[in-house]
Amino acid sequence: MCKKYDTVIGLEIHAELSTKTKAFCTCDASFGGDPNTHICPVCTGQPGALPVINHAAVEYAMRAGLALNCDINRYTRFDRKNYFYPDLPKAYQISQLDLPLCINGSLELSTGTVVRIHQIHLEEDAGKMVHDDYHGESWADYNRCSVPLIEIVTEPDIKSSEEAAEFVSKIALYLKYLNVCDAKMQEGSIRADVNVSLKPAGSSVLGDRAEIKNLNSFRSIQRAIESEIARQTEILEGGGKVVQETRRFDDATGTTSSLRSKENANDYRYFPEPDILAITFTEEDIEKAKSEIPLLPHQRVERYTKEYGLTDEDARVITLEKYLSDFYDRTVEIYPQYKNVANLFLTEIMRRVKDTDSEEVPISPKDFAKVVQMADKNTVNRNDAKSIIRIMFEEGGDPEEIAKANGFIVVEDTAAIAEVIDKLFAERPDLIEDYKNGKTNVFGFFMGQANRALTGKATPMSIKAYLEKKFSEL
Amino acid sequence: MISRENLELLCELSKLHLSEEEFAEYSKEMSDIISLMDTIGESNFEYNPIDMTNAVPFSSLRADEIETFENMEGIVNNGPQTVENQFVVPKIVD
Amino acid sequence: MITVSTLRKKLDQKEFSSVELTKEYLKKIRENENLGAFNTVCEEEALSAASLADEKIVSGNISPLTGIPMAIKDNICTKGIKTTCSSKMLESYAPPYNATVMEKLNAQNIVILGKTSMDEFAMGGSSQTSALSKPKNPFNTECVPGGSSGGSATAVSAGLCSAALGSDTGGSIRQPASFCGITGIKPTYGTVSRFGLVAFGSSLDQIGPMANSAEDCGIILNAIAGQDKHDRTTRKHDIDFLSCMGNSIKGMKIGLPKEFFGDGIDEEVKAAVLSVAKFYENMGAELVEVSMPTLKYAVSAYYLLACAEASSNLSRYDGVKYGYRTASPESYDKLIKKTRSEGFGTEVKRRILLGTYALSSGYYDAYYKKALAVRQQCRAEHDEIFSKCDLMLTPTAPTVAYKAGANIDDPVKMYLADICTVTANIAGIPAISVPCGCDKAGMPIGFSLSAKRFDDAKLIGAADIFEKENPHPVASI
Repeated sequence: MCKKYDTVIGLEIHAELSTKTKAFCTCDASFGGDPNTHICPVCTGQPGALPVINHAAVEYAMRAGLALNCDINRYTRFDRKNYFYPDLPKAYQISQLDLPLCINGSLELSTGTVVRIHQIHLEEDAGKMVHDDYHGESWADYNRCSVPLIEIVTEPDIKSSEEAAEFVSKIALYLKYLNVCDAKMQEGSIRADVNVSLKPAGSSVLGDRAEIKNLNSFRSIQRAIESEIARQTEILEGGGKVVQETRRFDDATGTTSSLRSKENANDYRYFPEPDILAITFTEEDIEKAKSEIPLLPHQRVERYTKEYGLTDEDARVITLEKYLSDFYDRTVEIYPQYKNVANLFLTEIMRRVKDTDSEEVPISPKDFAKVVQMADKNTVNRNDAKSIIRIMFEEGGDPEEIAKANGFIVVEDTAAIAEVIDKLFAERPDLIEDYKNGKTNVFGFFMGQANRALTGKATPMSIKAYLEKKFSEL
Repeated sequence: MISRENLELLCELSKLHLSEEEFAEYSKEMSDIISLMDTIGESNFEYNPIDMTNAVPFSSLRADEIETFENMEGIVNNGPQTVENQFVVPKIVD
Repeated sequence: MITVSTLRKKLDQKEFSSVELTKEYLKKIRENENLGAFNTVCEEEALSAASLADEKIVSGNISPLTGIPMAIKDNICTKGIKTTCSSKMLESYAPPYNATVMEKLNAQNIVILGKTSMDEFAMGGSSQTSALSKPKNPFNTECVPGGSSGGSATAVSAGLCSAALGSDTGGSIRQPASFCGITGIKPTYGTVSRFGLVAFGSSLDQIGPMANSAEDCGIILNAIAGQDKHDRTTRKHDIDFLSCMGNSIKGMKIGLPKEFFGDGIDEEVKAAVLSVAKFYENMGAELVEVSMPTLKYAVSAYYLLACAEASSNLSRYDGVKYGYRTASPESYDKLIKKTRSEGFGTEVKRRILLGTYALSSGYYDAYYKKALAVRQQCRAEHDEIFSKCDLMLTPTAPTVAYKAGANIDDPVKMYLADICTVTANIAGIPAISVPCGCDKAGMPIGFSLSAKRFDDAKLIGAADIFEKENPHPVASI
């Protein structure tokens, strides 16, 4: 089927930066806390209070920009965006309009699409409102007020809902790798606004767009775009015209609806923030920030495949979560058997943490390295190594202690091997005869019997060696 | 002269409500004031947004260290209406 | 009128205690309630601060302002003490924190007598836009004390305090100082912290002293100035504001900008200021003519910048977090509209509307951006002027104090009266107003000296030379 319309999508991604203090005051910026217990005169907009910009907020935003191939404006300025809302105590948001911190970046998707980033600017978050339907009231809590945010604004280069979802999840992953954002969507630390428009297939003229505000999961981003494409297609098919407007996505119905508000005239009256002086950067500032960018996921994949010899698939899986990749890195730092570590990591660690919310592996890289090493040296067998990991996850403890307590330590009792196998040979002269007549598969029977009888006393490897010797001497 | 629509928009943007009588008065005054402001239209200086006298180096910015404000109750206690330590407004519908 | 430096000596020599002095001022404040200088008088706090100061004095732990009773303009935040900005909006607002200048003054154990009345949110030049107390001029109570720091000027001029703090966005310290026959200085933008000064025009506002002598102004500035971690528009500096006291004026060049001596200036004012020029010339200064062509755009540039910033700064008064709130609003939109319409006075609303206009889409380039360009040009012009002279001499105001009610209904006339003072704010330079006699009706006249940025001490030195030979006029109250 020939597609009638091309989809054109632009994104604005808001990500809260994980600085210790807020963007413009020294209040604790961490998530949570009882209502209005992370507040001060500045973030509650008391008369006379003044914003003082946080070095780390600028540094984090700059790091994100550099990792996304942006240029840093050597002179950056803040502006006030004026509007009334009870979650915005000053009735203006400190943001950036004309001279944002980062400009002209890009990020490539797996489809090959290169999404250009128009700008990344620094701004402050608003507070939190809860609505009490019974009393017809809304309550304002200013703990989140003035937490630093970056807004990543793309060019309309994205062509499908899948690409949009990939872009956002890739950005989220990057920000985590950069240590600048927790990227926890459930805590609202990443939100996106999407601009969607359709144009006749192949045309270069952009259609009228709708903006869908405040999407806070990868899934809702994808669903909202799909439902919006369907809606706009229906309008255009019917000969109608898409209205340029702001819309809201309802997760329950999976549809978007108009957010037109008669009372709010939309003129933000931006002007230069007089309370914050512009910031200038030297080349050394930029070089220093560049040097502080840690390896990004695609760079770690490259290292894992090229230097560590892992398969592309394994390398990708390990880097899907930063904390897991970090755990792997720390383990191979201690015990640089890259593949063996990866094998046990991919099976035993990954499956145990993948469905938990906590971004933490409950055992230490040091203990994990120990287990891999024990298996490699045949101090324990591979199955028992897995049991040790299970026990460490469930009950904790030192891997060597666990192995001892559970009788996992392998001993090579050569006398016992000889005794058991000699006895087996004596008991089954019929099978020995079969072997001599060319039925070599009886080897397996002896191997199985001996293994069972020698559990905990000898490794299969030495049993096999002794058996081979015995048969060769026949 | 300032048009009725323009003054209404300014009132909406700045969240001021004017009675009919006030509206007429402000219309007249605002028109006079804007005529005075219009003298600036004769100036033709170039504005340079990059103003180095109004800038500070990145390195001089505030360090990221928490300092807790000691009088948070004082802030909340000034609220005209509060419930459970939060500021109350009529329910927001968007 | 007794100066801070004299009081210092008398307190240190135990001629009287700070408590006795404070009681004397409190008595005078009560006796002169009709002058309307104060919105709030802090009798209890003042007496306990005074007795604490006395302990310090006895123990010899003395700072330049220990035990000195001062008045504070009612737009400077004082923790737990009402800070109303003379507005219904903040009539009962007691800030949860202190302005940095208050922290610094408290560290020297000053005595706060009370909070002085002003134009509402510092918007006005007569103090008549106050929604609370309306101060009167001690030289003629039918006249205004000027504004917006009119209450501070009245209090100092009438001897209700030893000195006061004011704030100056477009002349709000200097013009009332001139109207009331006292000295007031607007320091260089960025020398004194604005943290805790309720914002009007953030890029123009500065706190400064109003006192009975230039020396007193220097003493107070030494106490309150300095870079503040809470206000990063303050600059690192170590100005000793008294460092030019006693310096000769010989060889200094004093510029007279011809645009400031034109038609709009009252003849008696012009003559008085020219005689000041003569005085300095006789003392060995050289007079030079300078020019400030941007002056013709100054009033509009000033009002556009100040009101644009004010429209944003005053948006926070919405009845949600503090201050006035309308009774039983049925929606959030009604809550803010009614709160703001009922809580703000006429002049404040005018300026909010003007500022909103200047910033709104379609008008920004024609007004606000032009004003930004004029500001840059004005700064360049001042650099040029101060490459030719050390100081610039002008009238502080085109006229002496006028009768209450005279200009109030004609905003354009009222705005134009700021012509002599706004350029110092636009350019961010320091300027001081000093009394130079009275007109025939006995109303004080003031002249202004300005200098390049951070040359504040030069102004105080030069003003002191004049004051030594020309005592301030005294109101007969």
